[in-house]
Amino acid sequence: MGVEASLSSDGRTVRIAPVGRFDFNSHREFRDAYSKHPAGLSYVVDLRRTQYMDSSALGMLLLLREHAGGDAARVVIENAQAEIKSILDVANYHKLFDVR
Amino acid sequence: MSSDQPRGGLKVLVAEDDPPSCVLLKRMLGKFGFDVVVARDGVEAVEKFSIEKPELVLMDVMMPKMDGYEAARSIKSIAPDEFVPLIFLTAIQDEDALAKCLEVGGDAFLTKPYTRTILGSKIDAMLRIRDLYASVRQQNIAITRLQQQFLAEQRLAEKVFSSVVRGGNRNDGIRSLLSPSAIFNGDLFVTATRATGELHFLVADFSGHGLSAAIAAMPASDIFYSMTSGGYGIADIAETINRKLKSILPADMFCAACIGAVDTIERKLAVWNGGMPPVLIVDSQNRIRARAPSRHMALGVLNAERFDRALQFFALAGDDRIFAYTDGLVDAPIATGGRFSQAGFEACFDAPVAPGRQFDWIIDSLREISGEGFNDDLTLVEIDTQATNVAARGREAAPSRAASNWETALLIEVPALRTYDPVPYLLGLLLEIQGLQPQKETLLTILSELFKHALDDRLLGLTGGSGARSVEPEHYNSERATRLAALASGFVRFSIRHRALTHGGDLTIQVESGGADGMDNAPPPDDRFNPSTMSRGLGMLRTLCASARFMGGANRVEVVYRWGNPR
Repeated sequence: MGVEASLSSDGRTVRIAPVGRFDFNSHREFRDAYSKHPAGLSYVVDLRRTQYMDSSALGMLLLLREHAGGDAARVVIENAQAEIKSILDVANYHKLFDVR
Repeated sequence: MSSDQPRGGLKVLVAEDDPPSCVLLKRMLGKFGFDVVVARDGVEAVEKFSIEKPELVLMDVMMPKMDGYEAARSIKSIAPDEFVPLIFLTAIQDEDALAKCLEVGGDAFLTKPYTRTILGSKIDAMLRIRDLYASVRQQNIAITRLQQQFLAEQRLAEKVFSSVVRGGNRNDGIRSLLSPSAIFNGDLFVTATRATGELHFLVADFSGHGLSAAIAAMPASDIFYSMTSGGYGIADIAETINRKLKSILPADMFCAACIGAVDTIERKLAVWNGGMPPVLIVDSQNRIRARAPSRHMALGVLNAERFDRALQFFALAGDDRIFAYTDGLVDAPIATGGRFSQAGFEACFDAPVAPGRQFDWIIDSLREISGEGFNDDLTLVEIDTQATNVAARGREAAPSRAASNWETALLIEVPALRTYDPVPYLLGLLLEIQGLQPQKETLLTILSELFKHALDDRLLGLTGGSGARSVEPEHYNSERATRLAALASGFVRFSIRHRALTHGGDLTIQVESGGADGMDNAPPPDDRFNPSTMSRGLGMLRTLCASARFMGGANRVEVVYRWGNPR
């Protein structure tokens, strides 16, 4: 459980990995994972170990994108498991995010 | 706290029948700064407690008339919610007797003889407990008040939201499950009928929970109702709700929504689906004939420039039914673990169920496999497209304003012509200037058909005269979008003239199109409206208007609509 965050060795990419349930209760931890880093960096949300995601989590991804620079942001969402991938598909998140 | 520290103003009731003991006690308490009230027996102690309302009671056990035990019981029953510490002072050493002191409601006992220091410490300890009790009680009162306020507000909000989200004109043939808990968690279902006879529906699911989710339902349903009654189509409605929600909602809140228009006359369904599970079209054999999946992001996410209005279109057969629902249905937890799921939901249509029973079957199935955990935080809507046949056209009623003479014209050229629909604007003029509300449905149909003739038939060649370019109905909308995007030049001109008559008026509407490359303007065979050569919509104008004719070619049409009972 929780949200793991790390900065790449070149200092250009912030990697955020929610573990277990990514939902309303992750709000603070998820925000803490990116808020100390400036806009303009690359942000990668790694969903490999995310088991569940609700609409609050979708909202948090929008907040991250806004923090990262809005329309100028580079936010990658990757490694989503089938069930979570379908949530992202229904929400058409590929229109705002680089969903891999 | 030292025992010599003054404790000013605190009122203490001393119940003591032995005068020397009483004098000693009074002196000690006086030094502490207490205000002392004395009772000589148990009866007097109870009376003085009621009258004087002391904040602390010191009670002797052995007293005349009523002993200390009984007096303590009475005193503790006078104000059960308040904590007034009661300390027994006694020379008794017997354990049972001491235990009884606490049993009858005393809070502590002090055996004689005692020193002033011991008495002071005991009183201090009791007062600390009293203060703690008071602050807990204060918090309790505050919490209870807040809770009651919250519940009252929630009841009020539920009432308001219920009337908003259940309002509108419900038609026959629509069934829905929308529980108060779903409403309060941000689900929304509204329907309204457009004057052209289309049934509009909106099924939505706001992100988040509780009041904040439900509150955003109000502007969304307001826009839905007012734009539908204003004659706007669902793409315009989706775009407007999106713009509104984008401006009022915080960045992480949005509204998954599917907006549909059931055209019961042309037998078409149009759907805008952003973030909702697929809308199902089910035939008379209960087979899922088509799905309208999510093609867009939810409302309130994208800014106006990025918003995508594109609709999905489906032809409807005789008794098709439409199922729309929120993800609360497919995500419903089931007793065996896991969720109801899209597959589980769609499997309900494989069951041998009469079409009219399908709705109940779905709910019953879900209830059964959910077991104890059934949770009605979900929305399911069924629309029977045959039973919803709406709107008698051409109602006539008295006008609200005296007839006047006036005229106006509107010319629209490419590129505005590619996106702008002038019909709501023109309809608005007719309603405002001439007060033709009762004729609204007819006027909307006339304007829509004239515009469709000018743009779709003449400029885009989709139907009507130039048969070579005409397209089949199932390709109509995609082909229309393609040709509209490719239209390099062209115009549509509306001219509207109104002439007052006694008891009514004549409204002459001319529409002319031109300016597009390769457009033909061959007059139709007999220069009159001939149903066999005209599109169905244009042919209908003959039945709605006093006269309808081509003016020197198919690119210019004039209709005269007569309202009231003119002479």
